[in-house]
Amino acid sequence: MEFRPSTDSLVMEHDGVYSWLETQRHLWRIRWGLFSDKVRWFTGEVIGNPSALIGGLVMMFYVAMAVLAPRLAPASPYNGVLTSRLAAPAWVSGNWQHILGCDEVGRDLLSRIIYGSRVSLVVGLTAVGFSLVVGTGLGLVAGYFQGRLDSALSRLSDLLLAFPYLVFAIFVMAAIGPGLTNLIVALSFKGWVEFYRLVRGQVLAEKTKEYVEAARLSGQSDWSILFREILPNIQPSLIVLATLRLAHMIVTEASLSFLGLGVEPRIPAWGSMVNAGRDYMLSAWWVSTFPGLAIMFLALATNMFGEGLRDILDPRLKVE
Amino acid sequence: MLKVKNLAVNFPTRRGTLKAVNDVSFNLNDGEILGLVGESGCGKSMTLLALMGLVPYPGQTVAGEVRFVGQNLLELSTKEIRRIRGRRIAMIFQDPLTTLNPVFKVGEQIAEALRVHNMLESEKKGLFSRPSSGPIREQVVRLMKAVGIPAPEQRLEEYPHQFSGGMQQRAIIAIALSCRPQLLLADEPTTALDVTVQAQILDLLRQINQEEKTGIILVTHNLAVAAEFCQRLAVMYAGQIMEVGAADTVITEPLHPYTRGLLRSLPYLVPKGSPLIPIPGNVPDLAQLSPGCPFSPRCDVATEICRKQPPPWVATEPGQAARCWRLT
Amino acid sequence: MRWAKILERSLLTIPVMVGVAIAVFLFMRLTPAADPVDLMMGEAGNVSQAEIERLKEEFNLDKPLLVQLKYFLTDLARFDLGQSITKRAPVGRLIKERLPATIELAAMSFLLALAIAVPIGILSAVKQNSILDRLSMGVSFFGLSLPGFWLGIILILLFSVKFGWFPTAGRIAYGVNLTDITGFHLLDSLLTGNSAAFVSALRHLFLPALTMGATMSATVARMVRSSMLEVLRQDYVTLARAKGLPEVSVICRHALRNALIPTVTVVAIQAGGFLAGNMIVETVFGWPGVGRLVVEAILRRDFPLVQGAVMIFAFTFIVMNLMADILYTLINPKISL
Repeated sequence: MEFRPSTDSLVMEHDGVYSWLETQRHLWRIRWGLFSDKVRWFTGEVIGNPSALIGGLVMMFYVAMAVLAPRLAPASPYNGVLTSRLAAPAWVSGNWQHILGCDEVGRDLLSRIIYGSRVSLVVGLTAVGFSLVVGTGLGLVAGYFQGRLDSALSRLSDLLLAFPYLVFAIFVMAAIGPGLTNLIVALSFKGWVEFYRLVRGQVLAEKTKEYVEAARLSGQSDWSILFREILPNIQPSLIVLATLRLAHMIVTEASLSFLGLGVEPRIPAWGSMVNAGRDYMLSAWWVSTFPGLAIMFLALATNMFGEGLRDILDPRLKVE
Repeated sequence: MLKVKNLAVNFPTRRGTLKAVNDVSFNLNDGEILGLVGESGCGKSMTLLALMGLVPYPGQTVAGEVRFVGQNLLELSTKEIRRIRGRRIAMIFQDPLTTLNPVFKVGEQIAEALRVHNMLESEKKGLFSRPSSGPIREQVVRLMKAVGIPAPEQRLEEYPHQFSGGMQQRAIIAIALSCRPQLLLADEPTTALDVTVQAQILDLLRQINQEEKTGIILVTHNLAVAAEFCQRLAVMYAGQIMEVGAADTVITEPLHPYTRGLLRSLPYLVPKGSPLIPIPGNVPDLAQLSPGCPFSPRCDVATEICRKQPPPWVATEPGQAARCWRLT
Repeated sequence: MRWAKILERSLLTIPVMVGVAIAVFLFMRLTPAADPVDLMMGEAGNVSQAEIERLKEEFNLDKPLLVQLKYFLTDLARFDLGQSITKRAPVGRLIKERLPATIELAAMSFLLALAIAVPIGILSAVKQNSILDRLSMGVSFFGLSLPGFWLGIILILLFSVKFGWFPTAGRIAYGVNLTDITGFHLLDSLLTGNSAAFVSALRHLFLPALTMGATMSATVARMVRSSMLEVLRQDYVTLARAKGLPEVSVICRHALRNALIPTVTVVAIQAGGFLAGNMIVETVFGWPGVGRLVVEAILRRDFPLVQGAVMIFAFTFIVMNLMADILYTLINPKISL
C-alpha cells in the first residue's frame, strides 16, 4: 500500500482493505508533523529576532503573572490596612513587606499590580480575539461574495469609523455602564472594523490571483477555497494586526479605567490605580507611577512582538 | 574620452563582501557606441552607476580610476561631480515610468535639468521660473520635438503616467540631452518597451550619436540589440569583463568561452534549425567567488590554472582582447 | 474634473453624519442606564409626581421613539442640541464656550508634533542606520506604547512638581488679565500686546501639547521614515541625482513630495483622534476644554450633554477625514478621476 501524502488529500493505492480509522490516523500524523515543523520554524525565527524575542518573553511574563496572581501576590489586593496608608516603596521606607509601597487605603501596590494584569490581559485578549474572529469572518464573506452584504457592511463600518476610537468606547461605556463584559463589548464594537477592512481588502486582492482560479476549476467549493486557500495567505498580516491592536486595546482599557469608565471599582485595574494616585502625586508619587509603568511595559512588549512578527512573517523583508 | 581602470564596487552583506564590480577596465573613444552586455546581475548597471558616483548605500566604490576628459571622476568632490552629472555625462534608466517623478509635470522635470546647469536661455532664472512661461517653455518644447514627442506644447503640462512607455522614455532622453552631454549612459533603455518602440528609441539614440557625436555606453542583456547598435562590445560576467572588441568581431569570432557559450544558447543568435546549447550551471554568488576565473565552474575548456589564478588579458589583434588562460 | 469629485465626496459625508446622529440618539435611548429623569431624580432627591410628569414632557420622553427621533433631528437641523441636565444651559452654548480651549490645544499639539516628527523622520531615512536613526526609532517606539494619561502625569511630576518649570494645571495663570476677543489666548494676547499673558499661556500650553502630540509624533516620524526610505530607493531619485541636482533639492523636493502622500492620510487620522485624546489630556491637565466637559458629563450622567458632544466629535472627525481625502487628491496627481 502506498501513501503519497499532502496536506489535504491523501492518495491511496491499496490492494488490501484498510479501515477508515487507519486512514484517519495516518492523516493526523502527517498533519501533526507539518504543524510541529511550523512551530519549530516559528520558534527559531522568534529567537533570532531580538524585537520579537524580548517582546514575546515579556508578554509571557505578564501572562504568567496574571495566571499565577493568587500565588504571586504577597498580600491581598482588595483589603487595605489603614495604618499602612501611602507607605513608601521598600527602598525608601525600609519595610520590605510592601516592596512597591501602598496605595491610599493601605493596599499593597505590588499585589494590586499583579492582579491588575488579569483585567488588562483578559480584556485585551478577549476584545482582540472577538474583533479578530468577527472582523475576519465578515471580511472573508464580504470580500469573496460581495453583493448586498458587502455594501451593507461597508456602510456600517463607515459609520463606525466616523467616531474616533476612544470617543466611541467612552460613549458606549457611558451608555451601558461600567463592568468587565461591558468593557469588552465597548472595545470590540469598533475593533472588528479594522480587521474587517484589512481582510476584505486582502481577499479582494487574492481573489484575482491564479491559485484561486485553479482551485475553483478543480471543483473546490467556495467555502473551502476561502478557508483553505485564501485564509492562509492572509494570516501573516492578520496576526501582525492582531498583536498591534492588542497593545492599543490594553492602553485604551487603561485609559477608560483612568477616567472611571472601566471595570467595577472593586476590581484592581491599572488605569484606575493611576487615577487614584493623582491626588497624592506630590507626597506619594509611587501610587500612580508603578501601575503606569506596568501598562507601559506591557504595551511596549506587545508592540515589539508585533513589529518582530511583521519582520518574520512579511515576505518583503528588508533589503540586504 | 573615457578610460576606466580597475574599477571595483563592493557591497557588505551577511554572507561576505559582495563584489558587484570586480576589477573592470575599458575605454571609450570619442563619439563611440560601446555595448556592455551580460546576464542579469553581472554588474553592468552598477558599473554605470559607479561612473557617476551614484552607487547606492550600502555599496561603495573601493578601487579604480575613471578618467573622463582628463579628470579622475572618483576623486572629485561632491560639488564638482554634480557639475558633471547631467551636464557632461547623462544617464537614462530602464523603466521609464519609475524614472520620472510621478508628482511633477513632465515639462517641469525637463526644465529642471536645464535650470540646474544654468542652461536656461531666459533671463528669469532661479527656483521658481516655471516652464509655462515664455522662453523656458520654448526651449523645453524644442527639446521635446527633437526627441520626437508629438504635440509638445500640450504634453509638457501633463504628468508622467499620462504618457505611453515609449514617450516616457523619450522624455527621459530629452532630460538627458537637455544640457548636451558628451557621454550618455544608457541602462537597458529599451528592455521595458514594446519591440516596435524599442527600434524607434534605438534609432533616436543613433541619431543623437551621429549628429552630436555623443558617446554612448549601452548596457543590455540582449546581445542582438548590442550587436546591431554598438560599434564595440564588452562582455561582462560575475562583475568582470571577459571580452572586449569590435562588435562584429566579437559576435562572429568570439574569443572567450563565455561569449561562445552565449552565442550558442540565445535563440535570436542561433541560426534557425540548429540546436540551442545552454551553458550548464548557475551564475556564481558574487559574495563567495572562487579565486581564478569566475566562469571556470561552467567552462567546457577550463583547466586547473583557470580555477586557481585570475586570467590575464590577451589581445589577439589591436582592439580585440579577452581574459582567458586558454588564449595564451 | 477633480472638483466634481471633491464635491461628490463632500456631499457623501452628509448621510454619514445623519447616520451618526441617529446612532447616537438610539444608543442613548435604548440603553438600560439611560432614563434621564430617574437619574435627575437621584440628584434632586424626592420630587412630586407632577414634577416628574413635567420633566418627562419637557424632554419629550413620554412620546413614542420615532416621534422623539423626529424632534431630535429637527432640533439638530436648527443646531439645537438640547439642554444640559446638570448645568441647566443649552448644550450648544456650553460646548461653544469651551471650544476655543480645545482647538487651541489641539492645534498646538498638531504643530508641535509635526515640527518634531517630520524632520526627524526625514533625517532618519536619509541617514539610515546611523545613531540618530536608531535613537529616534527607539524613542518613537516608546512614544507609541505610552498611555497618554500616564505620560501627562509623569511630565507633571517631573517638570511641574520636581523642577517647577511649568505650571501643573489650567490654561493661564490666575492673576493674569486677558481681554477675550477670539477666545484663543495666544491670539488674544498678541492682539492686545499683553506679553505676560502670552508667556503664561504658552507655559500652560506646553506640557499638554507635548503629551497629546507624543503619540502622533511617534507615528508620523515612523511613517515619514518608512515612506522616505521607500521613495529614496526609487529610480527617479537616482535620476534626480544623475541630473546633477544638489542633495538637498533631491531630498526635499523630489523625494519628500512623494513620501508625504501616504503620510498625509495617517496624519489626518491621527489629527482626528486628537479629539479623543483631548478627553484624557484635558482631564489630566485640568484644561477647560470640551473634552473635560464631556468626561464630567459622563460621570454625572448628563446625557444631553454627552450626546451633543459626542456628535460634535464625530462630525469633526468626519470633516477632518474629508479634508484629508481632499488634500490627498490634490497632492497626488495620479488621482484625477
